Amino acid sequence: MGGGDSGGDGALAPVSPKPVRYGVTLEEPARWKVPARDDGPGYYGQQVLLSGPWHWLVTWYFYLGGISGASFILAVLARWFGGTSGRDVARAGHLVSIVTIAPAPALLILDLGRRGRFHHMLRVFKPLSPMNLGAWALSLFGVASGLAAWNVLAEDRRLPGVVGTAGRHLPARALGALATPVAIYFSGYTGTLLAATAIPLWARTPTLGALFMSSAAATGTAAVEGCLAVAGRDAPQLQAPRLAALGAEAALSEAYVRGLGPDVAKPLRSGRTRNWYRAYQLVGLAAPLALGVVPGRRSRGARLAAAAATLVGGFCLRAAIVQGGHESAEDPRATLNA
Amino acid sequence: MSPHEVDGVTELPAPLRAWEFGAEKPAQPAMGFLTDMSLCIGCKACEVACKQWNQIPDDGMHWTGNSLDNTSHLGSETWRHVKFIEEFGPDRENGRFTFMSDVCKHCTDAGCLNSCPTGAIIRTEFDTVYVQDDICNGCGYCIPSCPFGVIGRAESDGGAHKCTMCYDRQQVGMEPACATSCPTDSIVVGPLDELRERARTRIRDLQARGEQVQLWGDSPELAGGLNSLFILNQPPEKLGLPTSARTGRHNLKQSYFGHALVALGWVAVTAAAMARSRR
Repeated sequence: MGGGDSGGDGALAPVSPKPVRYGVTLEEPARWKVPARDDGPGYYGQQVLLSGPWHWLVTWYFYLGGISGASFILAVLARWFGGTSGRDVARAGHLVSIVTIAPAPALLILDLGRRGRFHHMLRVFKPLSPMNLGAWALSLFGVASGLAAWNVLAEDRRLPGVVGTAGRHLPARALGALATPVAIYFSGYTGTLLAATAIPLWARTPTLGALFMSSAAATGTAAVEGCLAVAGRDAPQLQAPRLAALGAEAALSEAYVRGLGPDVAKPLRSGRTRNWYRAYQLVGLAAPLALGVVPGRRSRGARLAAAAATLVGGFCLRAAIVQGGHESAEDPRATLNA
Repeated sequence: MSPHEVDGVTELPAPLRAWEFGAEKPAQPAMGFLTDMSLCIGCKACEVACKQWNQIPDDGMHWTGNSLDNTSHLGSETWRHVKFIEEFGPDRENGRFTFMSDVCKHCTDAGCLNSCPTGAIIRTEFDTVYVQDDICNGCGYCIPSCPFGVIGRAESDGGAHKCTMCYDRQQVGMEPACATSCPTDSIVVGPLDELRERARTRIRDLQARGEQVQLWGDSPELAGGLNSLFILNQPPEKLGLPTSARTGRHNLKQSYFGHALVALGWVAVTAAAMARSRR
C-alpha cells in the first residue's frame, strides 16, 4: 500500500496512478484475458444449478396421480350426465382412481430424506408452494377417491354386511361435487410444481401445468377405456374426451418446446432424454391420434391399442420431463444465458 | 436500571407478558455479506471456519483438476466455496489468479423459501433465509428451486442444509464464522445499507485504479435482490453466476391458469359426450 492513505469515512484504499501487480501492469490486460485452455461455459463448464433427488418414484407419482384425478372426474361426469349408459364408466372410473392413487403416498414418502416426517407437509397451509397444496390435495382427494370406490363396490353388492350397507348409503353425488375441484387440481398440479423451480427446462415457460393436465386427461380416459375394453364393454362416449385431450396435448407440447427455445429444449431434442420424448411423441401422441381416425377405430383391438399407446406415452412424457430436468440443470449455458 | 427496565419502561416478568406476543420488536436492520474478490487471497479459511463452527460433515475429497478448487460446488455440506480462476498466457510467464468465495445469496425472493412445503425454511429477524432442521422432512423441493444451486440434501441425515449466515452467532451479536476468519477482510458482514455504501466506495476506488470490477447481487433482476453482495473482478458468467434469476413463483399464476383452462375445456367436452350418449 502506498503512503497516501487519505483516511476518513468510507475511503478504503489509496488511489495510485500506476499500480503494478504480479509483475503485470494493468495497462495491458490482454495477456491475462486469454485463458490457458478452453474451460467451457461458466465456471469450468460446471453446472450452476443443483437438480435435486427426484427420479423414478416421483415420475410414477406424477403419472399415476394424473390418471387417478382424471378418471375420478370422468366417473363423476358419467354419473351426472351419462344416465344409464354412463354407469359402466362411473364404476370403472372410480375403481381406476382408487387403484392408481393407492401407491401415491408411498411413492412420495419413499422419496423423502426423512420419511418419518411426511406429515410435516400438513403442519402449514402454504398456497405459494405447489408441493404443500399438492400434499393437501392428495390427502383430501385420496379420502374422496376411497369413499367413492367404497360406494361403487357396495352398490355392486361386493361388500358384505354393514360395510356394504354403509357404502351404499354414502352421499356419492355430493361427494363427487365436492371432490371434483380437488381432483382437477390434483390431476395437473405436478406440472406447476415443476414450473415453479429454477430448472430451465421446467420453468422457462409456464406451460407445464396445462401440458400435465391435458396428459392426465388423456391417460385417465385411456385407463378407463382400456379397463372397459378388457372387460368386453364398449364405451364410445370416451373417444371424444380422449381425442380432445390428446389434441390439446399435441398443441401444448409443441408450444412448450417452442417456448423453451432451442438451447433450453436441448435435452428433449438431442440429449440423453430425447428417446423418452420421441417415444412420447410417437407412441403417446401420433399413434393414438391416428388410431382415432382410422375406419376400424371402433373395434376392440383398435380401442385397446389406442388406450395402451396413450398410457405408455403419458409415462414417457413424465420420464422425459423429469430426466430432462436433471440434464437441463447440468448445462450451464441454459442457466447463464437466461 | 433494573434488568426488567428497558428504555425507562419496566417490563413484566416473562410469564405475564404473553399478551405482548407479536408486539413490535426493536428494528433489526437487514444483514448481509459483502464478499470482495479483489481482496480474496484464496486461503479457504472461510470454508474451514464454516465447517468447524457449523460442524458440517466431510463432503468427500475429489481432485477436480480445476486450478486449486477441489471443493467444486456449494451444497448441503459446503456452505462456503472458494472458486479459483487461473489466467495465464501460453508461455505461463505472466498472469493472475483470481478467487471468489461463493455463499448462499439469502435472496429477497428466495426460491427455496417459497417452495418449502413444510414451512421449515423461514426468514429470520436478520432478513436471512434459514432452514429449521427440526422441521425439514427432506422432500428436496428447495434444491431445484434455488436459482444459484446453493442448497442441497445431505446423505447423512436426509435434511436440506445451507448457509445460515451463522444465525446462532448473530443472535448473540457475533460475526459469522467465515467473516471472522477472513484474514484480508474480503468477507464483511453488516447491515445491508452500509454494505452497499461500502461496496460503492470500494468499486469507485478500484475503478479509479483501472481495475475492471463490478457489484453483483444488488439488482432486483437477481431473485428480487440479494443479501449477499459480491465485488467481482471477473465476468459473472465466468464464475457460474447468472445475470438474471427469476424465481419460479412468477410462473404460478400462468401455469395454474393454463391448467384450469385445459381442465375446464376437457370437462365441457366430456360432459357433452356423456350427455350425447345418454340412454
